Amino acid sequence: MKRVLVVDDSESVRQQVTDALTGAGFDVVQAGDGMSALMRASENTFSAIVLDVNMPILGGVETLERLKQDPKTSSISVIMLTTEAQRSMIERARQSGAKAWLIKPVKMESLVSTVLKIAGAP
Amino acid sequence: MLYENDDLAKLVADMTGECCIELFAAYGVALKPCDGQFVNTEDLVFSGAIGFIGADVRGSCLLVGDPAPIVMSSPSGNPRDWTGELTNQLVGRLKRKFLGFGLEVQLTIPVVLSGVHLQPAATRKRSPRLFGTDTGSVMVWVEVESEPGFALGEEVVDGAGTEGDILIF
Repeated sequence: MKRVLVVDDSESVRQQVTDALTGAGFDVVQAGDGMSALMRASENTFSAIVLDVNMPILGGVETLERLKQDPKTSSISVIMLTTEAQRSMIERARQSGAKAWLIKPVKMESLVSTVLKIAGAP
Repeated sequence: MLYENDDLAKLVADMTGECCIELFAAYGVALKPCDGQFVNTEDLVFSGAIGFIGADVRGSCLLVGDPAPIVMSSPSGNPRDWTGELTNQLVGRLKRKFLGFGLEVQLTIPVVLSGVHLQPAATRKRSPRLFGTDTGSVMVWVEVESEPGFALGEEVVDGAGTEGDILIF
């Protein structure tokens, strides 16, 4: 079963995304900030990471950059899920290797279909 | 030195009010603008605050809600946590409106406070924007300061995304 890491400082969002991805057949692990996400990502094998941007301790774009710099995690597909829509920030994420940028609120069916498209069937 | 500009404050308050209606509508809760003050009872209310700062402007936004409209909009059962996320999404929408005027701001992490009798001190010129639902009230309050002479420019097409957009790279 493919595993997805869901990273958001909002427990409500993490649970909503987890429920949707679990329902689609993915195994889901959660993290509440960027630093925790880096630890989880290095400890397990993930097919994809759904990553918030505006988070405490370490923001999402900085987390993405660190994931891509680490050979152990650089191949994981990263999908940004955020309220942010600033072009310069989206471009920075794209250049850093993000696969998609989703602007909240997003229908969970759309999120799941994006994860399926990028990570493949569970 | 930054100072309060009444015209800018009214414009930003109007934009924030629009954002609040749009946000709750996205989660299936219809807000109706209403006059008056947020009615405080002995019941718990939830509030979230986020600051924003740009080159010539800074401010803060407060969202306060009775439990019922907060819970009705929530995909989960934790109203305190959801209030923080709603505030994040509210100010995210405001940020996108700013981008439409060529203004870029950075946001702080949301701070959530629950309690009773939570009320910003309305000034003679401005008061919080109040919204009603069948089950309770929601209020937003925004304070904004700017450099002398600062004004939002003409609305421009920024190319920034909007709510629900999915950009695949």
